[in-house]
Amino acid sequence: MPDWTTFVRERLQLRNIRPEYEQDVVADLASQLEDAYRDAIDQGLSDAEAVAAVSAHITDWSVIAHQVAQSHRLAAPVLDRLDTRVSDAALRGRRLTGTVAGLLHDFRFAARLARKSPGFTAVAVVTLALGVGANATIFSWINSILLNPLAGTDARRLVDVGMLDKSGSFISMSYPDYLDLRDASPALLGLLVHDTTPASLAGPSGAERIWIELVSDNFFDVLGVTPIAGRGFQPLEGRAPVPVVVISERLAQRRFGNTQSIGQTIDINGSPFTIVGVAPATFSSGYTGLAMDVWLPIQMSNKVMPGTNRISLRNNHWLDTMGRLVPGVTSDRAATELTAIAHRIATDEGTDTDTRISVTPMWRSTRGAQAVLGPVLMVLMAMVGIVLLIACANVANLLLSRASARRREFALRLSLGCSPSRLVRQLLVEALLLVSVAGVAAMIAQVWTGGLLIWFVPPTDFPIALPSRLDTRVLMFTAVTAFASALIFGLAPALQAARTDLVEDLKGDSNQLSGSRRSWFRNTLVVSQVSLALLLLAAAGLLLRSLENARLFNPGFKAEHVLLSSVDLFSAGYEPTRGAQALTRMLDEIRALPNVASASLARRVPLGISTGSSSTTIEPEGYTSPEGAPAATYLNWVGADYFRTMEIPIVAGHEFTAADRPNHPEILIVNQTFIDRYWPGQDPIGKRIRIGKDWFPVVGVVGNSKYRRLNEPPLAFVYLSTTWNYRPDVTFHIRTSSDPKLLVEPVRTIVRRIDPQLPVFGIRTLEEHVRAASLQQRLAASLLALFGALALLLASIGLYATIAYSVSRRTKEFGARLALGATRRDIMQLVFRQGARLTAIGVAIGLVLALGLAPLLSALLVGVRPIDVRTFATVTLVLLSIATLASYLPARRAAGLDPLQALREE
Amino acid sequence: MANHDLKKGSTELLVLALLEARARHGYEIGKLIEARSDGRLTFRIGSLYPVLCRLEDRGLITGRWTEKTGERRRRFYRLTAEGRSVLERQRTAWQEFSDAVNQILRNRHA
Repeated sequence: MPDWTTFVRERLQLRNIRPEYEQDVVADLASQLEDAYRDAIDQGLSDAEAVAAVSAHITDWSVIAHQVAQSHRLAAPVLDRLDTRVSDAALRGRRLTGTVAGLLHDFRFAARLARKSPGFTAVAVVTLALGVGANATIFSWINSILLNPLAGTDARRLVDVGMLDKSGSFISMSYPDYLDLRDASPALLGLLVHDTTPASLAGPSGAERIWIELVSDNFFDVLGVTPIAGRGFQPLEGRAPVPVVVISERLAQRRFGNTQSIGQTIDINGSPFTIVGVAPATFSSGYTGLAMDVWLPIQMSNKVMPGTNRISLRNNHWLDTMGRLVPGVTSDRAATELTAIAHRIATDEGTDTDTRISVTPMWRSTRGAQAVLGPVLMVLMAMVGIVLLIACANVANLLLSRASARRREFALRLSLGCSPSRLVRQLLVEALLLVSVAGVAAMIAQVWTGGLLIWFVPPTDFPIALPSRLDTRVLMFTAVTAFASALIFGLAPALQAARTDLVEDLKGDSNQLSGSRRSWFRNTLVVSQVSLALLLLAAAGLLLRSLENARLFNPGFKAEHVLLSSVDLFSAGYEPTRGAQALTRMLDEIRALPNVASASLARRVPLGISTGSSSTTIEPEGYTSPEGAPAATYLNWVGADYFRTMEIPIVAGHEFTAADRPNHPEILIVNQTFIDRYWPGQDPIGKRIRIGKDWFPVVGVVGNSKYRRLNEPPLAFVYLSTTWNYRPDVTFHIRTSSDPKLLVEPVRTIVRRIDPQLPVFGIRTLEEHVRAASLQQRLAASLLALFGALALLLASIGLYATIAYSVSRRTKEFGARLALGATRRDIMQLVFRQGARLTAIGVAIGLVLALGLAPLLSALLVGVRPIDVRTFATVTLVLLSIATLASYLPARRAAGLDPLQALREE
Repeated sequence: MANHDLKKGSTELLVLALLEARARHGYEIGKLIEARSDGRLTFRIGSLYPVLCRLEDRGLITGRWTEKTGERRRRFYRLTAEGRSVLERQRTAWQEFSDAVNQILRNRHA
């Protein structure tokens, strides 16, 4: 006699049954089969015949298994099913393999499904790829500028260290202060200082303009950069001037064709330097976004920078500072400690004891590309996040429609013993497959889009390097984003599918309750899409208006028809007297060129990427400050005819003229804000200002202009004349009546005639230069406009799909209405009203969101307030008209129904 | 005679009726149906077991493992109170239904 329990176990595959019931079922069936067997034997059948007779009792075991599984009493609760999966150690291995096999099966099924409906797949993948791709791109920018601002360095615990004066304004560090601070703080593993300057590198084909980073001897050690050949700097080179240099790999390749250049000499500003090291190509400099060619010890600064006593004077503040924290030490603690040390030094040295030291993480540094791009990138990241949400909502919508079409399939699978959790898994796998394809597409696109950032950077004199690397962090971010979106857009439709009502769905009839639940969900999706799209559009609108304002903005000078070009006489080895003569000669010849209306020179050009000008404390005659804080102003050094050339209006007095002579008493010019702030209601002409030790009379007042940023508040400004203050590094400003570009060659020729070795650099029009000032607005506005349009498109597709779907579901109803006498107009209005209601709710929520969030954009706006009625009204109108179109199309179709056909519709 | 559709509709009633007098085990129920219908109705274990399952699920019968002296352990099914009242209702309904059907069938011969 066979063992009937084994007989049953071998044939009956029960799933998701409480273990104790499983025993019961098997034992009961075995017992019944044994009874049948004994019965057959009793009737005289042979053993084999009896077994055959018994086997005929149950021909289809799967039917029994399925019917038993239908029993609520026997079915294990969902949590138990998970429990048994986890706790049953003996079975775990088998089940896990089962799960993996099941997942593979799910993926194959999903892939087959995706191929079967290429249209659906394409739309879903493209939508997701746009969303994920936008996120990957912006994140890669954030990664290279904020998260890992100094490529090629060990970024851990690297901090920006700054010195702040009493008023909280940033001041640079002097070399003596640095030497006292660097070893005094137990909070820091290392403290470095650096600064940049252009210089002239002698070469076989004439001088070449290069950028130098002057650094403390511990620079490479603190940053964790290992030269690929040779070494970094040594302590001795931080104490005494030693003519050694570390060069970039790029320069090594360019100059020597290889990196084996240790021991060779190069000629910088006419002095020989011995190459001791080659920096790796991955490292570009200690400043985010800048690529240096050469690193020199600070002790060599007198060879490449004008001015004296940079090394020994404690009140010569010129260096930027970075440090690496000791593990476990917070920025705040380090700042407190460093401030205390700075106080002690100041007390000992009898200098200003009111300075504080600030320590900030690199990504919040107020210098470098992160300061300019950081705020924009944050806004953009938030915006692409919203775009992705809208894209997810759209794909969720698509999946819901498809889930409705697949309800019979789901019901069939559930009734055939597929557990709901298995169905959810299958649907999530389908979502995952879509997003994986989209994610890969986004990655591939990112390789290209990551480099787009540089497009927004206008031509500058600086060696800009904005690397966009596809590193593991970007990959991880993209993978996580993609996975999270799969959960967002895949889970809801999957859970809904698992709640299928078997009976109704098998019959192929739409269940009223679940139908309304589904439409509620779809409506929520559409409303959130509309509201998020409005938010994006509002942001884009505000930025576009800012960009337009920036373009039309009157910076206080006239940027058209002015050519800029710079020379650096210090690098070329000029003495002040000879330099001043050379500049005067060049300017005279430039002024004599045809079509030149006027020409001048200045140390700084307003509104560039590098703001350059810093605040200085001064003492206006007769002014006592209310809180004892010293009066402060920004400075520039300008030549004769500067204001005429820039077309900055002269409000009172006169400007610097060619008749000024160094042996006359020095004079100053101030701007209107200076007067308003320090001498309100007084006649400023003849009043004096103390700068440093001496008092200088004011001879002119000029109109305000923008100096650093387009949206800056009015700044007090003092102009000094180059007649009394020789500056070797100047930029010629040349106003012409024709196209300024036509002057490029004539200017080059003039400079070459006076000194064939002197490079002319930074040749650009003032308009091009000023465009840099609106970098933030251009970047944000261009991308936000793009994202806004994308959001609008996606949201209107979502709205259209929802309305169209509901029309298709209500075909019968519309047929009945038409048959009962409703006019086509009525039907159209009915559908239309649905779309209008969803749009209205979405717009209302979106407006509230936009009103709440717009102030976050303040820092980027020019000439427009965050709550701008015109912008908000415009974007609302745009959204409403697109939404109207999106619901008009399905409404027209509904109205065009043939009642008879509609009624017959299944 | 044992028309498939007719059999399907009445199986539950048959099982409940057979359990009215006393508790029985699964195979016994099938044998009894066959015996009492003079072999005209036969149920295989494969078709009867799901019915038992379903009835138990609905609380009309309950099964319990019982060991009678000298016999193997078997699962015995008996009627619950609710099963008893359902049986009464179904018996009446069936009676009325079959009377009506018979009447119509006879009338045709008349």
